[in-house]
Amino acid sequence: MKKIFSNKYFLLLCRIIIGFIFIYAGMEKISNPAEFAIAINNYKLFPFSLINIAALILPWIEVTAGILLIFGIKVKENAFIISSLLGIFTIAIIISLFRGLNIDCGCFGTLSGTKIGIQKLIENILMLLAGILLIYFGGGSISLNSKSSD
Amino acid sequence: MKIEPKIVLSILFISSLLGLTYNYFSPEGILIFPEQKTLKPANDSLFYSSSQDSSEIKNIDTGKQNEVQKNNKIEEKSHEISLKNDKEKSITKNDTKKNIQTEPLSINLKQAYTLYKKNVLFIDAREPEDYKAAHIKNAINIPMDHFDDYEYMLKKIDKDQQIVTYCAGSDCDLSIVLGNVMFDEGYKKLYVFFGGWNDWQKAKYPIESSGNKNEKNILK
Repeated sequence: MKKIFSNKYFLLLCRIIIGFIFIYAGMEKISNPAEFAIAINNYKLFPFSLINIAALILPWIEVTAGILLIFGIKVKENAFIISSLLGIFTIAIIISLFRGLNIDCGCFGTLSGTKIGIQKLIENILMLLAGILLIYFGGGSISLNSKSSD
Repeated sequence: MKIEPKIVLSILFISSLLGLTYNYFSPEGILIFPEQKTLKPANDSLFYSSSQDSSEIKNIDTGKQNEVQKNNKIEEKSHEISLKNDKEKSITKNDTKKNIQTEPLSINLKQAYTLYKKNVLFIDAREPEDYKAAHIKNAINIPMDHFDDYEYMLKKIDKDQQIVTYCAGSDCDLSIVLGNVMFDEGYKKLYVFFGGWNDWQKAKYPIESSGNKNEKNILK
């Protein structure tokens, strides 16, 4: 089992999939920060004064971490950032589901307009698992600085 | 399994810097610290003293300019006391400024009820399900979360008419968002009823629960 997970192609696949998802999600939010701020506000979890900062910074962290992950630069650190974000998103979705909020996820900006729900939760948890795997095994040998990340 | 905190922090720092810089130059940039949307409360005189206002506003087709002049005269009288020595020109300038709202104004329950009695158009910004369950009598529904789907309804609403937006209560901001959006579209007599559905219901003012009869109400 460990062999499959630590296989360099498997790790590369994980990196590419998560990297692209995060780059795409980040770009959508960057293109419309105001709508993303409203999406964050809908969760009613964060203080109003911090919402715009979060809406401005978060997408850039997603894109940067996504790009570095795909190229295999500092994989463990970037996987850690991405997993932390996914952890926060997952908790936010769980809390909102318990509160019975019927709101847009805001996961990919507001264009997709997907509501939060069990499906989003499962998607997030799957990505989180892949993220943890990358933290544990690093990026595998197919990466730009494989030596330092191993 | 070693994660270097320094690298994590520097990635976060650089991304944040990029984000803020981009926002600074971006045409779609937003404020870093959002202004708490505290709308100015509407002056009671808007509703009580000049009861003709709303009826006049509704009959815009019949001589818009005359009405404006009438309104100006009514307000001039009240201002004359304080502005005795000022020239007429400055008075009229002040008045025109007062007649033009620069943002939606907030109103309380009493003011909302006064406007309701004058048959002012109420817009419910909540979800269609909430609206169907029950809403302020004669209100129409424009759910802010699906604004694009309902935008066509604005075409039927006169831009010079008084409009009150509301949502669930003071914790929701759909009414403010809708108010601001409509204000930008050119509706200048907008009031946001902060107490919203909760206050209205508690006060046992007229409500109704029915399907969407949006179109009928706009065209009344």
